[in-house]
Amino acid sequence: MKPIVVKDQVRLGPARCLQLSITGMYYRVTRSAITILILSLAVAFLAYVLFYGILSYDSEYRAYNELKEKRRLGEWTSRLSSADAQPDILAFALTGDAQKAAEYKRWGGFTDEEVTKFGAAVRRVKAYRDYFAGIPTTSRAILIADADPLSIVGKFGTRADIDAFAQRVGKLNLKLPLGSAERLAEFATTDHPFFAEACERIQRGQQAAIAAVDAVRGDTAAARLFAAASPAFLAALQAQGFGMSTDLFQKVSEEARQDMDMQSLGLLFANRDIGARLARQMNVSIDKLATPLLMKWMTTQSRAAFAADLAALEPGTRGLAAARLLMLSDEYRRAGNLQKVVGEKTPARRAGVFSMETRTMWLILVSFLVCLIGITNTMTMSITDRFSEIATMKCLGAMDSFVMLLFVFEAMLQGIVGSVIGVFLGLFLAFLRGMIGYGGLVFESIQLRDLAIISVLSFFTGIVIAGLAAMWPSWTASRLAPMEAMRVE
Amino acid sequence: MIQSTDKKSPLEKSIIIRTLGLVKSYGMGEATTFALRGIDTLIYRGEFIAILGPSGSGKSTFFNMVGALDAPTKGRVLIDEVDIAQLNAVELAFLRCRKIGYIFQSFNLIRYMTALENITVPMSFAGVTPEEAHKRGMDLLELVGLADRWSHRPIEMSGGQQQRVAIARALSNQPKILLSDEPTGNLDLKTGGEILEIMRKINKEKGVTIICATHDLRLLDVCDRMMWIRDGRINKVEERANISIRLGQIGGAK
Repeated sequence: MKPIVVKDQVRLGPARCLQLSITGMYYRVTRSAITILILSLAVAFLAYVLFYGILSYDSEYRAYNELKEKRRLGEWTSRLSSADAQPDILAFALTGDAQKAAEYKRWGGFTDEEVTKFGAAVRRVKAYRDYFAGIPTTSRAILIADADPLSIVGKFGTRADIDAFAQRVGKLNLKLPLGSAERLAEFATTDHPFFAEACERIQRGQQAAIAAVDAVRGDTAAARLFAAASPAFLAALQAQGFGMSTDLFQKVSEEARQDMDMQSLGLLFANRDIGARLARQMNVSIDKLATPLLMKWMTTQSRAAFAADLAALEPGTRGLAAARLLMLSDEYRRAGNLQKVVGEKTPARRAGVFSMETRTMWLILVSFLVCLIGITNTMTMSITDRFSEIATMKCLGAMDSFVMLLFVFEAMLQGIVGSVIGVFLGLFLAFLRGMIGYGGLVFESIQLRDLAIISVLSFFTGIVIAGLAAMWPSWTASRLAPMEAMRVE
Repeated sequence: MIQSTDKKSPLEKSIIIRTLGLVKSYGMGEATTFALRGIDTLIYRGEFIAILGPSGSGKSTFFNMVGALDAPTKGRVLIDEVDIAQLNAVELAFLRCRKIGYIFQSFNLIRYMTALENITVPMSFAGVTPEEAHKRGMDLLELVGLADRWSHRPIEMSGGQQQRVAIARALSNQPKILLSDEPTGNLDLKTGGEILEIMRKINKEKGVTIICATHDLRLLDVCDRMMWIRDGRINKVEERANISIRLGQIGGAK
């Protein structure tokens, strides 16, 4: 038998395949556009969900922290008036705040060993409380009525008590708090008494510290001392173990000064002459005139200057400069905006890129599944449409790999274009919604690293989806018998 | 085996395609249907052979076997003394690319390519450089009389012009065999006649073996030999010389 020499049968290079793919796509531009559209929508959805999630989270977190800083004066005033209550101590101990821990250690006079023991006790107390918070409301009502779980720990003093409680719990098909009777007994006899005692020690220490600071400040209100940035006051605070650094003191001072300025501003309205002129300028009736309204009205330098001129007329008020007034009003409006963003929520620790609700995750999954099916369908249609073309090419000497490559390239090109469009679309939409919801805050809280991660991730997800979707149709196309070319349409 | 009484010189009478006991069946067991029931035939180099037969006769199946497009159930097809059943995918691609040119009833030009691009596609599969392919493509367009329309896409051409481009494409890698399935089936009488003229010219001038399945009786006038297939068997084989054909004309046609 005569052999057939095939050494010069050419496998077309990727460049030529790519060129042919592009020509083919150009011809079937509508169909390619559909694939690109489907893909870009799915990718846009992913990018949007991820980016908006992180954007809203960052904005809220930022707003929350900023607001918290603005509340320092109030926090310190209350800390200087009474000792922390037991639930507050528990809450602070659970946040793991280093400054608080240092304060408590000093006031309670804890040794290092006791600090560790206190930490363990705090965790048990939390577990114990969580247990009662986690069981159904009716069961809780049966077990402890509406008592605070911590107040009934004393009832688990003896083994008999615990067994009786275990029976009642068993009837409700529940487990014991902390898992077992032994641990509950240990908690009731060791951990909880230690926790209660430690709290008392902390409170006593704090009260002593407050008394010492009181002695220094005399009759002057804490807020006034803060506003005056009194060095003796700072020294007293630091000497008594309050977690107050010089830096922090300065911030609280500024806050106190702003607070006092706002109060003095309120006195302006007491003067009927000034009030009437302001009200006329602001176009409101004089009895509605109030500091918040003034703050909102004072949006420009000229308005602030007007108010400053009026303030200068009143001898009883400190004549605030226009720049200061404008700054106060900006701060006020910003605080208002932050409050609107944060609302009642308390954002937890900063979440990662992928922190999303289960429902959202399912939505994304389904959207990609739909996208996968959609692209597979479009590609299958495209291939069915080109049966005779593919078969003809095979008659002309094209190999399976060439045909496969042709369609893989087509899918990849569509994948790249669709993903790029999708990423931009998704980010743009998320940004737009962020702008609407949070205003300028998004610019401050946006993190380029997250943005890059989300873009790259969405882009490659799109490519992978396009590749997956193209696999089956491309394979079918490459296996097509050249005989099909003979078929008359 | 079919005995030929061809009067060509012995040098030209070498065999290019030989089929041995070709059987093609579909389905299994009792449901088996036979498309071909055993065909032994010889096709000689440089011959113009017409294959005739009613639809369902196995004509197309035979055609696909000879064109290395389909594998027989039993029997062998030898092209240039090479059994095509022995060839792997690459060798088959090579064979289809270099040895055989295909002409289809529905032309099958690639819609988004110009006439010249359509002709150069098989050349790029054969590794011809773009410059060389361009030159050869233009020569072929010249041969089929369409040199001035090289930049037109199939949609801008008439059926006859498309078929001429298809013929040029089939010839692009200088094949030894031209397989043509109803080349005039989609064309009107006049353009069909022109296509047959071109095919005759190629057959005579380039010495390409042409195998042509057809219903077009005018083709019988240009072919050397005709083979009737009926019920998967060769019904009869006739030399053109032994048959008297008179061509009539239908109103108005010149």
